[in-house]
Amino acid sequence: MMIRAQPVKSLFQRMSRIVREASAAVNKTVRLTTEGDGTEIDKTAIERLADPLTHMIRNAVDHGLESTERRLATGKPKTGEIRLSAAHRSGRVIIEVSDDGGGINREKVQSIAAAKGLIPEGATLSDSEIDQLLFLPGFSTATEVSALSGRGVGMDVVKTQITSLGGRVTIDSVAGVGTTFAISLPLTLAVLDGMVVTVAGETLVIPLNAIVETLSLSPSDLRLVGPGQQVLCVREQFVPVLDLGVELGYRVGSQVREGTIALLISPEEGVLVALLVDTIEDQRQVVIKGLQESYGRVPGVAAATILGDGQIALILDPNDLVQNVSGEDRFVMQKRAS
Amino acid sequence: MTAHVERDGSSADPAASSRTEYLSFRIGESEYSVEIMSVREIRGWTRTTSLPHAPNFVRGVINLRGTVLPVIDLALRLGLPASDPEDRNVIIVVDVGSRVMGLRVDAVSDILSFSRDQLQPPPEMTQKSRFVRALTVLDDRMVRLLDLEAVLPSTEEIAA
Repeated sequence: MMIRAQPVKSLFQRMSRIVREASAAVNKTVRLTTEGDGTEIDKTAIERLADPLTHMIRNAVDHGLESTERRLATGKPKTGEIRLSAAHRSGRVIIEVSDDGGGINREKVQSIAAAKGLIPEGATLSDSEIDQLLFLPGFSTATEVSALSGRGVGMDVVKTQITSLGGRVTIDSVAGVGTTFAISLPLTLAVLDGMVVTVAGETLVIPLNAIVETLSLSPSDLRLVGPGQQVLCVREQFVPVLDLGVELGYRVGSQVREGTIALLISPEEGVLVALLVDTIEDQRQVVIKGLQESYGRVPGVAAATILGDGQIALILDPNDLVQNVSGEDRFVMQKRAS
Repeated sequence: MTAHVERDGSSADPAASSRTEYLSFRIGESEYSVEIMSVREIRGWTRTTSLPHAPNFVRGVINLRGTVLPVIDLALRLGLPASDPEDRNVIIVVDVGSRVMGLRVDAVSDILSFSRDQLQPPPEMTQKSRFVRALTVLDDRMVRLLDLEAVLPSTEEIAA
């Protein structure tokens, strides 16, 4: 499995060359920043992502970023920013290409689409519908063929290639601020570094990248702030506590013993939540098996995996878990349980 | 039904032409059956991994040769008292439409063959019997024929 799953780093490194070449061709100064290049995805997916990603990067340099003069005129720094990021999110791999350019000129896109006969003249379209026009075959905003673009073989090919991998492409564009193209790939083939833990006799896997820190507790470390709501004091910061056994319905009533483990996770920047588990078994790579196709969505669970002994262990989605707790869902769950 | 007619066409008994085979199994003292064509395999009992927030009749998931198979406790699904899991329990893997699920039953008993006119609709439909499609009598025993489409929980039922 080590060979099948590879970090996207190699793919991202190739993109820096593309950016250099493309920016030289159009006379723009561009800086590429990458994020999450340690995110692992299936090797075949990496290979098949190279072409569409190259295309998207070139697009960002050529169409996304404004010319240097225009940037200076609108008060933006001379150097254009292109950000390439990868992350595991809610059971999918998200790869984003964003630029800090002028955003999609939706009027222009619509008039070109109308001129090319792709949409009827004078049609009323929402912003996202106009964005989707970029994926139509034959669509090109370039008026003449250049080294980089204008051939009309464009985003439709990107979309086809991503779709063949079982993924989706979405566009998020704000005029004057920039455009983000997000590729979302399913995790079915993906591999994840996980912490194998046990809670009330059940084995669970928690994505390693979600865990900030692990602590060994004694019962006196926890303080009650309200009915059923405990906090843990970590370096003078109060952190909400979530007993996984109770949260997942494996047992009733929190049981904190000497040596109970708290996993600190950070669902959002600057936010910490402590998950209580009984023991930490192991840290290993697990192959992700989809649960949604065969069963359906389970709140707080991203997927399942098969352990060495043939048993199935659930892979948790810590962000979803925390969201269900902090929001109204938690209230509903408790009402039903009582 | 045409397929059956062709397959059994050589049979001398014309009533046999509409016979369908059923797999019968036991839950507690009751005998149930499902159409054999929807049965993929029968497996011994293995420990399931329970799913959080699942309805009580969902036992959990098991590893079926590398895929994740949800297992339903048929006794609980039918509203019968729960029987303790033991090694002799079996899981019937059924395939309905595009969905594959495991049904936990006490024991598999036999393969039965009924013609259509031997089956009777269940009298007085009540809420609990919406899973039973037909009844038949075999050697003074009543055999219930399950409607698998109804037995397998819908996505809404799971999410609820």
